[in-house]
Amino acid sequence: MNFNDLKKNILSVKSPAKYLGGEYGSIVKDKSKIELRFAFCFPDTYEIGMSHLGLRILYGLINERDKYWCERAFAPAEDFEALLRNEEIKLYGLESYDEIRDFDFIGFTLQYELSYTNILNMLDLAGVPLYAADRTEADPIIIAGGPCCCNPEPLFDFFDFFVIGEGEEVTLEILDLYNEMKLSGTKKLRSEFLNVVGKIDGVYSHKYVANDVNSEAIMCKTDEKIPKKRIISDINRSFYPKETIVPFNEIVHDRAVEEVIRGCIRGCRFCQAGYIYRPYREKDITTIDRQIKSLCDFTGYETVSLSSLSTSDHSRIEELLNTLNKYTESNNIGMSLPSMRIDSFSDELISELMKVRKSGLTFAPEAGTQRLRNVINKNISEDEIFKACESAFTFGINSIKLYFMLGLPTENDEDIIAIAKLSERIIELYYSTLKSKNVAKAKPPQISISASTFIPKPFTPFEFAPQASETEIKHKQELLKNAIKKNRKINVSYNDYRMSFLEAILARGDRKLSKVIYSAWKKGCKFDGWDDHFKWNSWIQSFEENNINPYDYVNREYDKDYRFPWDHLNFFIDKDFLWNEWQKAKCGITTPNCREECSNCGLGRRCDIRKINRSKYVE
Amino acid sequence: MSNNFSYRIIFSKADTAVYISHLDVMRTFTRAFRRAKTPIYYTEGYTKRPLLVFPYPLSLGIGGEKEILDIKTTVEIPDVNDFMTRLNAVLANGIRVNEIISSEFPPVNYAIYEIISSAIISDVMVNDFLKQDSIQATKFSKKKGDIVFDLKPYIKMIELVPNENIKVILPVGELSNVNVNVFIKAFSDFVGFDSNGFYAKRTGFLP
Ligand code: SF4
Repeated sequence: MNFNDLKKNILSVKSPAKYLGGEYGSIVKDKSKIELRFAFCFPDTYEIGMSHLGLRILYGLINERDKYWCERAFAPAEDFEALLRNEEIKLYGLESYDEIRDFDFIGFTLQYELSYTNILNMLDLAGVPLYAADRTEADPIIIAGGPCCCNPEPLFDFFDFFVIGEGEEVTLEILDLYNEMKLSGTKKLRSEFLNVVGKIDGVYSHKYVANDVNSEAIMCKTDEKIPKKRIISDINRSFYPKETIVPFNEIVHDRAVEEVIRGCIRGCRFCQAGYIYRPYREKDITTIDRQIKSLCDFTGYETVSLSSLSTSDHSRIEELLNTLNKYTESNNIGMSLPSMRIDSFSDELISELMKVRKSGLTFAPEAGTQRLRNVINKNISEDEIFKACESAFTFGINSIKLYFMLGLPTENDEDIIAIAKLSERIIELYYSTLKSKNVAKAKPPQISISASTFIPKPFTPFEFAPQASETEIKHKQELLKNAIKKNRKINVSYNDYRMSFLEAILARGDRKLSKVIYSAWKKGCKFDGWDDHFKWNSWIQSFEENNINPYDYVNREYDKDYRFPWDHLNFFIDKDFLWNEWQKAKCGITTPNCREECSNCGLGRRCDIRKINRSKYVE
Repeated sequence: MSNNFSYRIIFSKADTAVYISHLDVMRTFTRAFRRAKTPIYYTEGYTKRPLLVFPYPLSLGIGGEKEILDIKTTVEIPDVNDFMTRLNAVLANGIRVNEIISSEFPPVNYAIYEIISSAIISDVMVNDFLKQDSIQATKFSKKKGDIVFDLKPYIKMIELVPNENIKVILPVGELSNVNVNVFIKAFSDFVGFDSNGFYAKRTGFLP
């Protein structure tokens, strides 16, 4: 593609810069010296994709090899898609403007089930056959990685293979194998490569077949191993970008991001990330300090964010923050700490937080009563919430955002009403705190409740649980709305039930769903996670056309022996352990976090938590 | 404000950088100064902001050859040429600093634009355009919406330069300002061409 072809009409689209590349830190190489080309495709907008750490890691990792060139492509917004289709411009890499259908690989990251139709749309815009079976030697190899690959079955027919688990090491193993075969002049390179790539640990290829369409059990037709997820060997030594792209236009998370922990000790039973990213590993303070310095020096970002599922679980969090503070303070850099659990707040930490987050504080109690929080193993007590709010209020914060889920297993009306009560007590606490501090003219408090619909995800103890029906969720939403109606200081937002329903189906689905996804895309479905794009009727029609009942996938409880479509993938989480957790959940029995006690989830020697715990007391 | 030093940065905006908004240019420079460890003067107050002033911001889609950015620093920059080199090393492609002036900023009242057309423009067209008693043009104001006015008195000069490009001089600044897009629209309407076929860049300023 030629820049001049685009130039003519580019001013008719919104934020044209995001389709033109050329950002500081983007990597342009001399084409004549390149042996292998890779297109990293993010099936959502530029603003979301560029905020994603995984993209930045893999982009840096692949481009570190002189002879490999990784470029980017994102899902175009409607106006730009129209331009591409009208002008017959094929989807191109942002770095070279070359059509990605001519690359060796196109890799998608699967972050969100409701972006699946965007994948088909991008393949179509690229001019690549959508179904793996229709591709020939002339086509690139289409692969996927990312968290949704823990159940890739609904997309199975579209990809040549999937990469299960952490990508830092396996990506290069895959590319090196391919390049070796390419340089040695392998005939029918594409099919030969696809025949052998399954020998790499973490690759899930088309060798696995469903043994019959009606049972979801999946077997391997050759003697290939069970695909198991990859775990990087050492988080302190593993590749982390020093230089990264700084977009021209504002993106969702426009700051330097430092991953401090991978995995989570908490074991909240609804949280897929908490299970599939195990084992728990943390970076050393020196590593974090060094990586942040080089990132900030290179990018010039004015904020750095510490990223993890639960940052305050770092065994040396105070020491870490004190160390980082020396650098950030003297360089006028703000520190943003999302994912801080409130039960660990000390005054020092809170004052740290307040420096950047002058606006508000966010908590995720997820459930309104202690009983239900025990069921989901979210070990936050009301006292802890109040304590954290109180110190936040003394720092001048007046707005609190609370995240809840509706439709959790065993939930009853009392649990819903308790959400409103909790919010009201936080408001009371606001006034009493300010009164005791003699603050005269206080801003009115503002509580925002976000109540989403619970989705039972694979590889969690709730994989056996049903999703609440539309009637149940409507009832719960009404109940909550009425309970807070009188109070104008509390506002509540819900997501569209049907969207969560679709997300659950796609998360739990089997291979039969690829036909449905294809039909939905044909009917114009894309950006299904966006309210203004979501076309529920088109989805329903797509299910009907393919004789698939969507309700079969999510509205019932499963027993221990049921074969899930993801059971053949090894994430080192024992199904017995998950079942056991599910039984405990129903009785409201909590499970201690991994630091307190190991529950033998199945990771065995792959888990190093005892070593991490011990190191806390050295020095 | 007593202890600070003023510099005028003359930079160009080309290639893909033409398609970034004024706000994005501002962000780009803010971060570039941080990368280059420039002792930029920050405004006092609740939210500290680096003091960057772009007196004549460019519209999205217009290139610039001698754009102006005024900055203040807390310490004097001993070697502006060295500063320029370091700054260019950390700027995105398409944005280049070409000169840094540390004293006597010349006054600016007019800007020179070069307009490239995909269709061929003739002398006759330019002359006929100018021969009109009044040149009807439309500008957009956020408060009042579309305003129709006579563009003719604002055109200080217009001529055809080699390669059939139009060179035009229009007022710029607080007192009187005409966006080059307004000119392009009026001209393309007059000759009956699609205004999308025109590409403009600002090549410099005049007192
Ligand atoms: S092996 Fe034990 S400590 Fe490690 S993640 Fe599993 S349950 Fe937690």
